Amino acid sequence: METVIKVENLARSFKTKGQVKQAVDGISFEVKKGEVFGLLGPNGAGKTTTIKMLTTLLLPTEGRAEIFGYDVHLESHEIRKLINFVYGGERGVYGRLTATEYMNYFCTLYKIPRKEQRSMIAELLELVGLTEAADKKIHTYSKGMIQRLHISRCLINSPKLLFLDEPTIGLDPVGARMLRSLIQKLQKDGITIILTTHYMQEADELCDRIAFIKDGKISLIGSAKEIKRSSGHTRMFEAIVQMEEIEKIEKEQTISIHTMEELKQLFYSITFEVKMKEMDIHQIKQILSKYGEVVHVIQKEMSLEDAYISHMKELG
Amino acid sequence: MTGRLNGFSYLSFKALYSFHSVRLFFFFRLIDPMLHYVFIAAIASALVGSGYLSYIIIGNIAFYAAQIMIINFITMFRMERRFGTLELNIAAPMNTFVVIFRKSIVPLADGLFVFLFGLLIGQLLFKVNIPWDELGNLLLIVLVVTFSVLSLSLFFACLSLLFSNINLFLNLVLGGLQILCGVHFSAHLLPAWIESISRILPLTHGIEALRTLYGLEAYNVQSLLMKEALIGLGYLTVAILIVKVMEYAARRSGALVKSA
Ligand SMILES: Nc1ncnc2c1ncn2[C@@H]1O[C@H](COP(=O)(O)OP(=O)(O)O)[C@@H](O)[C@H]1O
Ligand SMILES: [Mg+2]
Repeated sequence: METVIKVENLARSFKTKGQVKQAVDGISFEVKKGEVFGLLGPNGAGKTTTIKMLTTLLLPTEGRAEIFGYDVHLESHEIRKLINFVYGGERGVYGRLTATEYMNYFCTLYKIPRKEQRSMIAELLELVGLTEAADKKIHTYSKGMIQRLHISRCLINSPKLLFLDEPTIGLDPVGARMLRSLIQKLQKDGITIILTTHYMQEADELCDRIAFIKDGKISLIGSAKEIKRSSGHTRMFEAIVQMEEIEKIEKEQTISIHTMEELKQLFYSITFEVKMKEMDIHQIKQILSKYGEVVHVIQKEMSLEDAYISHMKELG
Repeated sequence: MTGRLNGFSYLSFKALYSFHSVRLFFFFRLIDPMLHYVFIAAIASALVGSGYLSYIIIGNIAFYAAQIMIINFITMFRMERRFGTLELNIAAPMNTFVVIFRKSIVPLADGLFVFLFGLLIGQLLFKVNIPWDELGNLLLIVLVVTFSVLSLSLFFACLSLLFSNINLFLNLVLGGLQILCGVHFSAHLLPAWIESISRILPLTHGIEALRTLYGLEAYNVQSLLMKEALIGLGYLTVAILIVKVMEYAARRSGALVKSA
């Protein structure tokens, strides 16, 4: 398989007020043609900084990255022809323009021959479901519509590689679903995609491979399946317990609680991870019953979210 | 080609320019300059008497047009940062200088309009009579001054790639132009070393040529125009030369991806 992205010890620091902030701290990975590659990590992990370097808008301070064999530092001109990018949120649009005008503007920037512009714009707006709204001003658009407009903009130069930085942030469930199916459509067309997101389920659904990043470092790379397996899925449990006080159970040494939710008065639903490897449901019931009446316990299928939380906890 | 030029420039105007409706145009381009000239005229006649009025009005008409052009043009780039569209523009394959240049067409037309309209106001409001028999030369001066100011604006636009907030600097420069370029008093009155700065700024020679045409001073219009045009060419060349450097430096510092 052709390697589209090759990153080696890539780093970027920023100097602000005499202090040096290491935003990306020596990351390495490769992405193959046609893959959807997810970058997952908490706010400030360095995801956006990584993407800005790979899209050639920010120079690395150390290390190197190649896109289609071109160096991000020296051959940005070649790279920019082959890629495009979308940043989540409502930035990156001209609110006073209509979608058609906006697309027109970028067609000219991407040197699309004038004769082809009209049909291309109609086609791309159709693809993202904005035909009806094509002549409305962008400032009247919902967040979901703006994201879809971005997708249609980023397809103007028929890119082989797309960077999507939190494209579903702030979208309602319907909007997010539309965007996800759009991303899947692009993947089917053979476009390689780099995606960052906060939503683990989304990453699980869309990404072929995932990298966990925190404090500028990648700590884990693999398919969702591999990541779940490596996090030891047999150790996740879910229980419903009737308790008077919840503070005590939080101090229990043998388990590490991920979430706790009050279902109704005194009834709590808890998801947790047992710290020791060998422990069966029976033993767990015994531990929990120290704190209250155990209604039921089941062993959980590890979700990517569980793997993520458990992994981030390990990193501290 | 011109069709495309118009399309892109027009969309940039619609997307980014400070006014975008007839009502706002009426206020900002007809009422506001008049108020400005009246204000200047009132101060001038109070301080030095009305004989000096024509002299100062001419200087201010040129300066006001230049100010409109520079501020509105640079504001477009501030807006690009605010909207998060600057990097999208830079990432596209069109040459960055070409992008900047195409965005300058509307401020250029705006400046030209304000200049010509200013001369008209001068005549109607302050009896600074337009030398109709020299109309060709007058238009030439207006064009050359607008060109040299445009070049200075392009230079600033290139700088604004790297310096995400150049407003302070811009205000200093506008203040500088007002003092150094003979807007209110002749640049010859300045100490020699300061005057040598005036002589490499746009406006200085253009304003002198304008006053000569209005019969307020007696210089060689042709040679002044030549100098003004050369200064314009100089800034244009520098702008073209530094745009790549600025872009590279902005990628290095992170300024390109920083929002204002
Ligand atoms: N231009 C900049 N100047 C200074 N610090 C920055 C800049 N850009 C990002 N950072 C810092 O780098 C870190 C990583 O940021 P970012 O890549 O945006 O994280 P993420 O996208 O994962 O939330 C953060 O601590 C952020 O404050
Ligand atoms: Mg980010």
